Amino acid sequence: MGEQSGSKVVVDVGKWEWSELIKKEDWWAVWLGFFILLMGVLIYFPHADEMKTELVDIEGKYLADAQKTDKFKTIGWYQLNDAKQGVKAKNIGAGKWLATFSKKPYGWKTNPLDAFFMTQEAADAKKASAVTKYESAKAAEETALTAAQAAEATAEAAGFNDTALNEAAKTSIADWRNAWLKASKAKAKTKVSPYNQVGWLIFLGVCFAVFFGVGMAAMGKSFKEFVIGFSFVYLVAVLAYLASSQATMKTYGVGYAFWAIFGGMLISNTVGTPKWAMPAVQTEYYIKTGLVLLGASILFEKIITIGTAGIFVAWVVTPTVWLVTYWFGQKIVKMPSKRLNATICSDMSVCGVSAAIATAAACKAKKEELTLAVGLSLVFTSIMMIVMPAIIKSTFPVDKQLILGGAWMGGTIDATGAVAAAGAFLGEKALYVAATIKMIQNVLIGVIAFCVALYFTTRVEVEETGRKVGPMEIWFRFPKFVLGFIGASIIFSLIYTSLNSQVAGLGPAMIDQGVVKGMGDFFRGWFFALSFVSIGLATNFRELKEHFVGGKPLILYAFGQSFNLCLTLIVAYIMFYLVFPELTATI
Amino acid sequence: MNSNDKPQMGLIKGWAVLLSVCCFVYLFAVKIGPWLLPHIWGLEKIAEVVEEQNIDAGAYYYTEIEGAYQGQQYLSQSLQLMAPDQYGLTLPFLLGIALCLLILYFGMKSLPR
Repeated sequence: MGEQSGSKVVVDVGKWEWSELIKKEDWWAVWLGFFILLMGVLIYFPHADEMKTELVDIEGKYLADAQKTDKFKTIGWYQLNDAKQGVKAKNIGAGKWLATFSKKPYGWKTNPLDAFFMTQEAADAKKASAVTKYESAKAAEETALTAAQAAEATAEAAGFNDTALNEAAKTSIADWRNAWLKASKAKAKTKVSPYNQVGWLIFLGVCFAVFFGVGMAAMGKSFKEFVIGFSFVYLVAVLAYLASSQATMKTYGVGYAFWAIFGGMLISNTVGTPKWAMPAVQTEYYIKTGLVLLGASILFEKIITIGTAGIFVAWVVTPTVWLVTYWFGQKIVKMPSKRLNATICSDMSVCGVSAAIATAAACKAKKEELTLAVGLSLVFTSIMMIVMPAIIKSTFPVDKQLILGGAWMGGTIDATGAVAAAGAFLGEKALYVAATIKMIQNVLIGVIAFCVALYFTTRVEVEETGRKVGPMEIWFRFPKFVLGFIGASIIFSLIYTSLNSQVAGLGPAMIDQGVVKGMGDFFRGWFFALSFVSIGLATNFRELKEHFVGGKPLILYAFGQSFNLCLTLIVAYIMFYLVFPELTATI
Repeated sequence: MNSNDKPQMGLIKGWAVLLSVCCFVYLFAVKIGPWLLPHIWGLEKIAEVVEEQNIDAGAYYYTEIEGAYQGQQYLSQSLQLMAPDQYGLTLPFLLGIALCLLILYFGMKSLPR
């Protein structure tokens, strides 16, 4: 290995050695990531038959009702979907234990201690209040359901051929769905039980220290020094989650990534990062491991969810915006760093923080460059989450607010949480369309990260070093964790599709709601938080300021996002209303 | 990775700044933020929806949002029931994927040096 002159970016040069498999951070990220995923498979897959039986029973119960007509979605259709969504592998005992084991601090409003402790009395009081609300919502739902059943029966009696009766049934069912949504959310809030999270958080920290420490020891670093330093990094990560779980911060959409970077930078720029903590300040190690876990949730079958219109909005607009913005950054803005340019392009055009992390790691960007890109994304996301629904409400025709508005927000707002909040502001359908478009864009992370890794390995690094590269040299330089990231995506995509081909819904039950949400996701968030804390702890404001000279990153982001807003809106309108209006009518 | 083992300011000043910022963040969380809510158009309504539907507006990835799974199920089932010929690997759909890959291939090839 060698180092590029004038920077701290470590690059592979020269030759391949098999010992790299246990001595290099990239490979350890792959091993650790796959270890977690394998554990998930071993825990959940023996329960596949139970999930399958449950799904088959549900189909037997509701399918006939669900398929009574294709004129509108019947009550049975919704009940089928609701019941299928309730089948989750992570609901088994081991899944529940893992959820408790990896739990982040709970939500709180004014007293931070509420994030860690809740007494039996407090839980009872909270539950009592929630139960009252739920009972009232449940009664409203039952009334709405009775009305919907009557309207559907009337439409059915006319053979579903009377348009007026069909419309009346549709409206009645929509009212029931709104009432159902409120009742189901109210029900979720009745599940309150006392907790004491401190012991679990300490246990989790010890497990993480050993988990990452083994790799550090294999890479020739001191296990003891790492573990001691890790206690500090982990503590700041817990505090970052504590801040992000506060009610106001949740409303403003300020997530853990911001608090982790902010907390780390605040410490390093005021009292200074303790020297003993530095061995555990391992940004890339944590990020790459988290990215391998992220790969398992990039499931290619998901891109068919919203048909062709969705693929054009999410998969044709996004690379176009990426490339145009990158070109603009190099030619017009003259960004001093190609890596910063690429990282900003990805977080702006693909999906914010997750894409920024993947791209920064794939092109070996500096930590300050990732910080800057993430910071820009967080600021614009908060603004867009508030401004876009307002624009849609005040300027879009009423009949286009939900689908066109949802697709526009899903394709442009960076973070999924903000997309969901803005979509829910407009209505349930807008939430579904927005979140689905964002999900399809999320799948593109793998493709973009791979292309960026290849581009920087074969073009940018060649220009920087002035050396020609052959296929072997590309292999030496290629960031190997990307292979784990892509490999996890391919493997789990194949398993997902194969499960779905057995029984519809088995893939989501076993992968989405099993290995991904019941294993990978529990740890991925923590790993990214640890990496952001590490970035903060190793960054000073002066270094960051240097990358912001002339406001070039801001200009780049603002141009790219403006172009993204225009192109997404145009393509969404063309696809959803001119080319595929039948598809839009089904939503 | 750079290590800045020296604080940027004196120790007492450093602790004073650190604690002041923490106090300000807490104050924003419990007083200023909630006070600002009704003064920013639309935010109060968003806050209501976020609270009611238990949405984590700070989530970064689709797996962290239940709405993404519900939306996926709702939309795919809707298409399969009411427009099955437009669902799955149709020719226009494959064209969309091919277009994406072509844009990336030729785009990356022609990026400025």
